[in-house]
Amino acid sequence: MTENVLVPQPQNAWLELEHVDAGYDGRLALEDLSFHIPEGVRVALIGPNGAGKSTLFKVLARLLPLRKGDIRIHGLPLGHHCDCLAYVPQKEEVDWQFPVTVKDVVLMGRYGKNNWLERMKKEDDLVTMRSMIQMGISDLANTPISDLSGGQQQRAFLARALAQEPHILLMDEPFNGVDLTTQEKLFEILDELRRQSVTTIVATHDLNLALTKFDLAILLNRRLIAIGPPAQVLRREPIRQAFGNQALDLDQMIVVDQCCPE
Amino acid sequence: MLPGVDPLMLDFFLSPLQFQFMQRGLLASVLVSGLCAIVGCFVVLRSMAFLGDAMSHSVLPGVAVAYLVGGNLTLGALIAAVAVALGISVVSRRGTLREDTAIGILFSSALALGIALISTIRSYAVDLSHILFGNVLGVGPNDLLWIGGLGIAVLAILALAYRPLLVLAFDPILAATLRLPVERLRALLLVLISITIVVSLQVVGIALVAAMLVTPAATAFLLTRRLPTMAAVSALLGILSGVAGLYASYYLNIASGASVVLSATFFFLLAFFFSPRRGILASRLRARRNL
Repeated sequence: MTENVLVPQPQNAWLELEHVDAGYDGRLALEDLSFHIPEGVRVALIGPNGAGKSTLFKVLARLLPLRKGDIRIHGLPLGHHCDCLAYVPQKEEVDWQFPVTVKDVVLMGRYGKNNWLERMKKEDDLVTMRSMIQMGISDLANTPISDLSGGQQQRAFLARALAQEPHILLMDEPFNGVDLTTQEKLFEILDELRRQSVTTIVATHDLNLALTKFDLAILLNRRLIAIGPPAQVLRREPIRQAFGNQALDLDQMIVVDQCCPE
Repeated sequence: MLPGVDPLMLDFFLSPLQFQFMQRGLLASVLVSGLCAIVGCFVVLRSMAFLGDAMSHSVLPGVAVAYLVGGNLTLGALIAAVAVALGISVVSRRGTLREDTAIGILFSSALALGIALISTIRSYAVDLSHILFGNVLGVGPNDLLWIGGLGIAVLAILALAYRPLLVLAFDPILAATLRLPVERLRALLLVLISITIVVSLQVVGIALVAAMLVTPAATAFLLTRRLPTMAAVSALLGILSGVAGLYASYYLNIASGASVVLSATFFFLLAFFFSPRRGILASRLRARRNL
């Protein structure tokens, strides 16, 4: 499958995976996954349900141990860079009835910066405030999360990720059920993060967005199908290879079935 | 006599307190209910109600052994509870059995073992009923010291570890990416819950302590929007139930543990139907308005 690896491999690869195996119990969800992502790029992670997108995120967040292989961030094995990774979960994974306000949630992003027995510092408050302003939700600071709309929920969790000041940002289906304004806001922030050399990896079903708004696309189905510039990766053949009969060929346009979230 | 206070009313509240055992009982009841209600917030938010129930039952063998060898019952219960708490956190990490199955097996066997041990004693019916259902009027000065000391220790640790425990309860994935010591925090929470259970045994008993962990906190959940307020309201409701339950027990001559729990249930039902935010009535009205 190496003929599909189209990206030049720079010296300062920010994130490197070498022959990674990962899975649950007896089942491997990812097999022999190897790729390099240079720093500061925006990556669309694309694959059918069960392709191992969430598994990849969990491995990167160290929620799931590696079975085999190596992951290096800036040349160092996983775990050496404290706090360098932030994860924006899918909305379905969050307990929206939990009694916390927007500000509580964003402030949680700062807990890792402190020894957890210490008091929060002024800087933490400032970063929290700045993150909320950046996402345009500072007026919702004292609103319980149960009262938020879909777009506001997504913004609150991205604000929390910003407060973590990550080097790598992982987002799981952030465009699902989000209004257009929020989507624009998301891309504004992603542009800003790119300027700050933050690498973002976004799992998405939206091939159109992947094609137009991302620097790099990874096509995944348990194994790496292809990695490279979206226009080259998201072509008929590789997509068919990843999605099988979930991909529909509609007269020059390829559509993937996205009816059933995992 | 205070001016403006109905002397009959005053007499209603004061006359039981002429007995020292009632004074101690009331104090114990207030302390235990308040403590359970605060710790219970985490039990409710992390959906550990079943676990709390299981842990309280698992304490019985420890109590029984302490009783048989004439040792300190609280100490026996404490050792058993902490052992079970750590055992559960190990078993649930292995993940070969579903967690609720593992807990179900563990706690019913522990309960059976405890009953087997206690049944070797002749007077076992009376002793067993005190352990199962509590005997708040038998609280001695020493017991009060145990309750007060351990209760303060639990609340202090909870306050110190509040932030990481909050993250763990709300979003375990965030806790992991923040590199918080997730497994140790889980074990810590279980140990705090088990100490709370042990401290509460004398007041509400093994069979009913889970109710005091869950009911006031669930009531507060329906009424509030933030965890600190939820904990405060829960503590208040717990204490109210403790006091109301004890007076009900005195005047109606019913078992104290049961009347404390039923008072808490009464408050819960009020909130369940009439809570302005999450109550049945409010959501019915909202639904009608939206038609």
